[in-house]
Amino acid sequence: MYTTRSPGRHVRFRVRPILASAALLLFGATAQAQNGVIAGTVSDLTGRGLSAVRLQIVGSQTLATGTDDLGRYVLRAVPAGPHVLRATRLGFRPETQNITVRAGDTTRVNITLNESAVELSQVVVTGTGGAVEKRQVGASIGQVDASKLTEQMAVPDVGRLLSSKVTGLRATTVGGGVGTGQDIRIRGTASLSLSQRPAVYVDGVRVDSRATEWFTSGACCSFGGGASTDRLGDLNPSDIERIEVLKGAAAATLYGSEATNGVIQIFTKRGRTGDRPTEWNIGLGTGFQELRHNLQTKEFPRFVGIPAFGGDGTRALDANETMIEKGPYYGIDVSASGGTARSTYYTSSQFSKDVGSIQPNDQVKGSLRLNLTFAPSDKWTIEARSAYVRDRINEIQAGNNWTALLGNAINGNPRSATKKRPYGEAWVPVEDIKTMTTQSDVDRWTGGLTLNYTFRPNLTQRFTVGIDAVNDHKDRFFPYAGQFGPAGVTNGQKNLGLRNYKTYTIDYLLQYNFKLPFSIESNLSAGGQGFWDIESLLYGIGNTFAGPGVNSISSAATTASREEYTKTINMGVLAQNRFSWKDQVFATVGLRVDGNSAFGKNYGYKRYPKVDLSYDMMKGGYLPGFISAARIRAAYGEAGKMPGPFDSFTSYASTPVFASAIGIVPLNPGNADLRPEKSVEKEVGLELGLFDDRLGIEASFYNQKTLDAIVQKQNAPSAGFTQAKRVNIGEIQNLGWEGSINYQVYASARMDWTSGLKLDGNENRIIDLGGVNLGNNFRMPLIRKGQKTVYYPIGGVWDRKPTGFSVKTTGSDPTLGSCTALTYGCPTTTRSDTVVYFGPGLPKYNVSWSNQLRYRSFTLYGLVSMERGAWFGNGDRAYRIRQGGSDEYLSRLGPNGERTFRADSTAQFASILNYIDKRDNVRLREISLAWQVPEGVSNMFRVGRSSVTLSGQNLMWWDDCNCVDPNMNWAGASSFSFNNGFLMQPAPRVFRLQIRTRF
Amino acid sequence: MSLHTFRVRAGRMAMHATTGALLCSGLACSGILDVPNPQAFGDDALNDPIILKTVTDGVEGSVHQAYDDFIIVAELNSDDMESTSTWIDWEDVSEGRLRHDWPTGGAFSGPQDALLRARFAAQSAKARVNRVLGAGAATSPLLAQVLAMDALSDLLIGMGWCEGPLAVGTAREPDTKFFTQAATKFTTALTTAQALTDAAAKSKWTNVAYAGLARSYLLAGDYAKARENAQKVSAGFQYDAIYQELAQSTTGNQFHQNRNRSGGLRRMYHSRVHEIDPQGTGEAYLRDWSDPTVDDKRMAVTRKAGQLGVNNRFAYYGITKYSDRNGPIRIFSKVEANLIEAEADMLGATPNYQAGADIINAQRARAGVGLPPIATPTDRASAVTAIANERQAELWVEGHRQQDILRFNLGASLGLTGHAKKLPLSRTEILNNTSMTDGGGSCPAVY
Repeated sequence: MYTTRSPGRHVRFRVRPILASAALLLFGATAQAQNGVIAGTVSDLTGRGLSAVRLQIVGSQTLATGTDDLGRYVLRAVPAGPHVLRATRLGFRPETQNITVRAGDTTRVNITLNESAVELSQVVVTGTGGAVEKRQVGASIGQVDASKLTEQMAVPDVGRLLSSKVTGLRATTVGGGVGTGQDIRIRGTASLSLSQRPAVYVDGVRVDSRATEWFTSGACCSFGGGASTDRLGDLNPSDIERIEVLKGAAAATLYGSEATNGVIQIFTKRGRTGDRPTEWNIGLGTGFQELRHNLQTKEFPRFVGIPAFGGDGTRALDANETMIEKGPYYGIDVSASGGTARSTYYTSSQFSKDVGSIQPNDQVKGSLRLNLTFAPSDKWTIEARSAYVRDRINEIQAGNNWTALLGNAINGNPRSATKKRPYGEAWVPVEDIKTMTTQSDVDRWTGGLTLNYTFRPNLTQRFTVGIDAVNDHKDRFFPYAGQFGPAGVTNGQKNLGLRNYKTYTIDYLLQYNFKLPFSIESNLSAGGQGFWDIESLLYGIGNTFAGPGVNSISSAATTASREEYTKTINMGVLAQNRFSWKDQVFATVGLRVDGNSAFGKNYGYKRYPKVDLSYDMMKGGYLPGFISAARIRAAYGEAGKMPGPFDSFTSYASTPVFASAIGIVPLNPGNADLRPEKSVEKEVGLELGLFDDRLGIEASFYNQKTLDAIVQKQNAPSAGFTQAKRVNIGEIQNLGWEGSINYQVYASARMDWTSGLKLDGNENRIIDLGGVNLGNNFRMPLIRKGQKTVYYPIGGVWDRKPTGFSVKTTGSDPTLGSCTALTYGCPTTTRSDTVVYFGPGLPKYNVSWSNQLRYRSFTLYGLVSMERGAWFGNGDRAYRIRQGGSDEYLSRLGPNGERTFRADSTAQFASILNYIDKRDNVRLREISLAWQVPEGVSNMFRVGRSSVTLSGQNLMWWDDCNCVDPNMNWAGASSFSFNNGFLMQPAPRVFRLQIRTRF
Repeated sequence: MSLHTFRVRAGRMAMHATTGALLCSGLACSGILDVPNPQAFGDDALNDPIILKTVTDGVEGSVHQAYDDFIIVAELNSDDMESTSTWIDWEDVSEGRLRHDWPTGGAFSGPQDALLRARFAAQSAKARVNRVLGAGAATSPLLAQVLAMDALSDLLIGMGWCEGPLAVGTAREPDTKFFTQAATKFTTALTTAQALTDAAAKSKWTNVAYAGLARSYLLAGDYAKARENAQKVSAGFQYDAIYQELAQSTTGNQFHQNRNRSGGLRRMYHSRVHEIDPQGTGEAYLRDWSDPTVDDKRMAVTRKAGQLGVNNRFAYYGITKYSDRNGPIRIFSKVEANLIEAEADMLGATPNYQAGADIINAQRARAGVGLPPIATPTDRASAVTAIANERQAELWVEGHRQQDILRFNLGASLGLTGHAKKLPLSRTEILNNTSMTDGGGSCPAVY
């Protein structure tokens, strides 16, 4: 580290936006004569300015700022006198500098940060308990440097920002098309019935993160099959500065009754007070996406439709050649940030259009954001945030769906090909599906206000209120003319849906630092947090049009509507105390108490305690010199998962009966004693920094148990009530480990190379089902009734398996016909009488390996991931064969399409068995080449630091599953239906070119 | 700061925090966690005369709802219908592979579950009607309605499945006991129906009870009581399961289009089909079983040249009857009652073949059918042939055929050797009924 006092950079031109002027007029800049200013630049080893570096006067909550995109900062209103200035940034070793500020003068302090493979000194927010250095926290917290990643490559959405970046966090594209859902879960599956998506907070405000389909009404299936939209996809990745992941109950205890699955905290960018009023950042992107040509229809053109199969002589088409297109992408994002001593702003706008490889399917998204910070006095800081997004998705028809676009094209029989159905489509012709409209149109506003008040330097309070309001308008249209019979649609249909979702957050925290005897420092946090969650769903259906030319519900012969409503209120109080002894040993104790509207009326409040311990071994001075950082930690914490909003209510539902009457039927037996699921997590871990922090090693081991797991105890049908009674009788265990190794292989001003390896493993098992057999819901029909100890994973894959093979020469086979008539007889596979266990539905092991190599102004980055241990029902594989299609079957037919022993063997197998395959795969997940435009070139164009990035995602994968993509799920991002890949289209390869510049 | 000062300050803070929390929970926040559910009724809310009819209609609607699915699985396990789908569950039923305590839920579990739940709803509604109406319940059509549905649920369970629980949570019992229990319940329903003052309701529920009794006694083997009750069913009477397309809800007739070409006419009957216009409308009929020179309009199929089932394996002949998603499906009728009477005449203790044939021929000659008369049977075997074939044609895809094949022991002659005789007990019931043990089943037997 070195510090220089150098002249400020010469500013070539200035842009004074109206917004900045308004902010200045509004808030003013009131430098006080007894104060001074600190200004300078923070850069890396190469001299390149570093953005998003936090600079803070040690001991002050309010005297803090951040660097702009060029690494510049200005810290005003600093009281004259000696201070310690601390600079921290994710991925770099923090530095401190002793400085003396003179009244009315500017002190220039330039700082160089060294990259670090260890992140112990980073400040993390740790939930509602306030900010603290990571080394003081005993639980595992993952961090993602979003601003760096979005610089490194064009990232389409938050899910892919997280993918393979945090150990223990699974973020996998499962739905194929543009705008579809991603499976995001942390440390396995911790419930038998409740959503496994982590809670998501943006700048302290709880937000909608739904990724499962809500539109369930209609003639056929769900709205877009299993490929539901993902509300996390609304966020603009360029707005995000960093993401913190509280991985489990031990880390997220203070979030109470929604924290079992961890919490994802997203922090957006704030304004910076650089040495010019406004910093502009513009990104331009273009590119395309395209599916791999690995669809099982390459044999199709060998065949023409024949009358015996309903064909008309049309030659069948190969979907690889005719369905897959290059879906173009265009995007632009513009942001501006700046401010004065007492006020800063960050504002951004973004627009993009992303077209899918199988069309129609596209996403048009535009967003606006304004983040303001205002410090009217040295005691008050006010932060106001406002973000609006319009996200319109023409959804792909996929999943378990009669109108699955690719599903119809690749699951047909080429010998049934006709002019109308050139893929031999069994259900709905592809050309008719392409005439459908399937649109989701979202308006969303997320706003938040945070008030910080400093009573004294050691006594502060923070109050946050916020709202996330989502209006999703869905519109599906089946034209009059299409052959949609299998979907239950004759002469057209129109579906409209409106989802109105609001979540309100209120959060108060008081923090008090004080000293105790025996060199113990104490930090007390106390406060409360609550949220109101309200969802209203409206559906309208119009069926059967009089003719073409109309597309409204009111023009249909029969119309109907439906409304659904849920509301959940959670109120919690919390208290936590962090003790620090000699800045070496840290201990935290905390408690949260929650009341929730979803708890049964006989149940009261839920308590969630926590305790953790962290020991910084470097302070002891007894470790060898090559160890530059070391700590060990342990944590225990509890967190909960609230039941569904009305699960505890005994209820009877209305249902249409007869021609036009209404009836009431028993629905939910209810449970007045229903309480939240309780997760208890124990975790130990260590972090090591070796060779001056060039090598960082991190390891964690956790044992998480979900007690009181809510089991859907099905009534015997003879005892009525359609829904199962929810009872807290289950127990689940997730045992796991996580490890990461980060290595700075080489670092110099000319070149550097860093390599990172992340590994995690998870063993999920059901310990107790309370004697309940979940039967087919969890594909575990083998479990004997009354069996208490289960020890199989949630969502494990069960099915019948082949038991033998013989050739029948007499009699007949339902699939093959007369065996006597076949010269080779009937090849006959037999199956087990009962289903057997194959394996878990989610990977047991995940590995990702990333490398970043920079040479001068070029940076090459790549990330490869690997998954092992998961199985799935390869539904498409059997389905295709049963229908007489699939390359696997067709390639075994004779040269003229005649039946052969091998082909018949395949057909007979598929007629009685499903294919159960492994999901194991290695995937080239990300690769990019970035060029930092030399300053001389940038200057020619009168712009600041600029870069050109060429990137690719999901470019290739290697598997052994005879499937289009081993990560696909028929039910999209469903928390539990992840063990079948039926009819979902594969994830595309994404290619992007991004140009980013500043001025 | 001294330890004493810290204690004092900490104590004050704790006191303030506690006071605030108590104020909040005791005053301002009281009741804040109470959230009503505006889209469902609580149990108490239904104890209201205004809402009672909706409860009993819910019971009847539940039976209707279950009826079409019952037909699908019962017919798949007969010679009427065959799976042309790619669903293994359907194929297992269609091929008669089912054995006792089938290891998966299978397609057959859901319909039995639905009927068992409808029965529970009927019994629950019966108690509610008595509770709310008191003495007035005895003459309320609502009571007759739920009593009839309670009985009908038992009858259909007995027709479809080889065993089931006779009451909530009881052990498995054979199908024969369901027929006798249904007869008992229909008798109670009849008594209530006869006491009704509303003429239309009285007529409807009295006829339902007689028709139910006739079928229950028939299946229980009591021809005399079957004939006696069948004769009391009014001329022209018909009771249907009613479906609607509204909201595309599950109330639509699921048999429509034979579930999207997933099931069709069994291949053994393809050769009996007369295609009226092979290249055009697809209109086709099975030839009359008695006179193959004429078409039996009661057995209409839809045949489009070259069309295959969803499984792409063999020709698809769709069953036209009940192919309308909005169309009702017949449950009871005078037509069925007549056939019961004819059967009782021909196969009862004192066979009267001519009387039975006369009834059958009268039905075949009626408008819309117009078939020539059958020859009068001369012995029990030919009488069985006549009544079985006539019932197959008249009651086609109404869920009777599986039971008829069993009753008349037609399995071998139809080539169903090794085929399950009936559907096994629902796996959901086995797993969740504490009076049952998994693996404790003994049926269905096979032909």
